Amino acid sequence: MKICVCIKEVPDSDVPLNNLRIDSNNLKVLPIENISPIVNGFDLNAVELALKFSESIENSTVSIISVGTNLTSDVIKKPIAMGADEIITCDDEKNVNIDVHGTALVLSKLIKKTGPYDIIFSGRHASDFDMATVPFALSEMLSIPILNIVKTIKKEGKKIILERIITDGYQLIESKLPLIITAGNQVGDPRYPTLRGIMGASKKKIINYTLDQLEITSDEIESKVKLENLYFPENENEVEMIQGSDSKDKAIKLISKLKESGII
Amino acid sequence: MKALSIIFNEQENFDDSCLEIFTFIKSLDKKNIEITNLSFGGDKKYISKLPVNKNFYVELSEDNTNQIDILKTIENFLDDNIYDFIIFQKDDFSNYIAPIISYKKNYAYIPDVKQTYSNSLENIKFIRPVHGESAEGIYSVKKNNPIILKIRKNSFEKEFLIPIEKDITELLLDIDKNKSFTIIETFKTKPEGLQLDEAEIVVSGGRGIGGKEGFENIKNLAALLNAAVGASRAAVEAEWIEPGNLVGLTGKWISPNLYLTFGISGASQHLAGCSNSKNIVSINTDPDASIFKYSKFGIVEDCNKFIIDLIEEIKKTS
Ligand SMILES: Cc1cc2nc3c(=O)[nH]c(=O)nc-3n(C[C@H](O)[C@H](O)[C@H](O)COP(=O)(O)OP(=O)(O)OC[C@H]3O[C@@H](n4cnc5c(N)ncnc54)[C@H](O)[C@@H]3O)c2cc1C
Repeated sequence: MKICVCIKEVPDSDVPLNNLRIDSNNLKVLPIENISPIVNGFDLNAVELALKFSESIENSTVSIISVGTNLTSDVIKKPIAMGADEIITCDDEKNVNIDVHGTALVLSKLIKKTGPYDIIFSGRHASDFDMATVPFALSEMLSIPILNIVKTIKKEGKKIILERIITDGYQLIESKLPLIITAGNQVGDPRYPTLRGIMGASKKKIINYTLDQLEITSDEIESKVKLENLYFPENENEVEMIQGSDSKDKAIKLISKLKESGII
Repeated sequence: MKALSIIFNEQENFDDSCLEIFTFIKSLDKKNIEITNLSFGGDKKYISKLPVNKNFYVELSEDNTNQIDILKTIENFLDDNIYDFIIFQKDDFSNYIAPIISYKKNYAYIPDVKQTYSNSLENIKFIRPVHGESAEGIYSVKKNNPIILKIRKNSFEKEFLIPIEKDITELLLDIDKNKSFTIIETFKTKPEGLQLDEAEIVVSGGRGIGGKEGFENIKNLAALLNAAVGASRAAVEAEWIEPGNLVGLTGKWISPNLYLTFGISGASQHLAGCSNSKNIVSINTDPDASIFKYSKFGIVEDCNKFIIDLIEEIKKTS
């Protein structure tokens, strides 16, 4: 079985609000300090799901695919350290302001060039722009059906059986291949890279294609939707801190405050 | 200007949050709008009272409606009708269908729109949160392209239903016989007690609550206040509480009158789901926790001690 996982390098999503800044030239939200980027959290869940699935099927390979500009080698190779087999990128300066449309187009070309794959995994959305669009666009570009927010996947004979998360529960689904699936945190924590994995990853060569090599023009990755500006919304809220001699005293004061303001 | 609203309701219910769509549509153009609605499932009596010019209805018979059939039905519908704007809400079907339709029809697509402004219809700007709702982006669409929008939950007032039932045209679901996947069964696991989106008060616990026992206190307090139980992702991932209780970007979007948080730091992705609450009250040991910046009242205290005191004092006063 030939499997691939689409991943994205993003700014660290755990940086608290007051340590973020806006890069108004490139229209990005970035940490104030020089904090290393990460692989989008949900993409690592997708890597975990893909690795588990590949381990249950003989002769499987897991390829990692990514699109970006100036990718950080140590970051983007993390899935290799976790156990994936190879990494293929389109790391190109012209991708600097690429959005969902362009990303999906370039991914589709990389997938056609290095595939076909039986299953394509990705995270449910990227934590930088939260668009949740690329895997769906990819599904249309490749004419491969998609199932989003999958928690488990297994092969039973010729059938693929999946659990898909919905708002108040889950669905049991039977599917054919090929298929695109997206994953969220419900998959469980991604495995830690082993020392051997990290050593292996450091030696692994990234296979890179430029936009030119993929025969993609700048016009083609241009989107219909334009991001014009980014800003932090103003927060005019003023908090009233309730003081008191001890926890009990504060509890009594809170109750009377809530009653006074008609909240309870 | 022609707008199409696409609404999903499960079976016989009518979720009035769909009325936000119509307030949104009117914010696009006050004078010249013709609104068509296409509803999938839901109580026809309510749907016939939607404030729209044309109303179509597709019955959904069972729990296991395949999104491919809905997709096909919408695609065929759009082959015969052209709109300037097609508006979805945020729900399981829309999250799947809206981006796919945009690619099938080659239309522009913007999800999570929370506001618009413009000086003319050709030059509308759309505002949507980005980066886990820590910032906002202003978007525009090139040329005179039909636009598919998915609106952010709890961002618009609810438009009123009209007082009389008007005609609805029934359409059939286009069943695609060659689907590559079938839904074998749907399992609903609603959290016990009052539901998050129904409650006037929500009591929510985070990592600071420390464990399952801590959530027993949260549940006790919720029962006392006739409130629903919420949680942060840290608490859900630690399996102290069910995933159905998650509040935030990837969980429930709520706007109760009172949102009480215990040991939640206030990450932007959590705030996304609760910042529209009328009043937030937070208990946290860290005086610099972000959650305080969004709270009406804040208390610096060990939440596990405080919640017991609070329960005791509420019992005394009631
Ligand atoms: C793409 C993406 C989507 C996400 N979606 C969601 C989402 O939908 N919902 C969500 O909640 N999160 C979401 N997150 C995760 C989010 O970023 C935070 O990691 C999470 O909300 C943190 O939960 P927390 O506040 O409980 O834990 P922490 O951030 O660890 O905060 C714990 C807080 O408890 C306080 N505390 C500790 N001990 C005590 C005590 N004894 N008494 C009182 N206070 C104490 C600490 O001071 C701290 O402020 C998402 C993240 C990403 C990247």
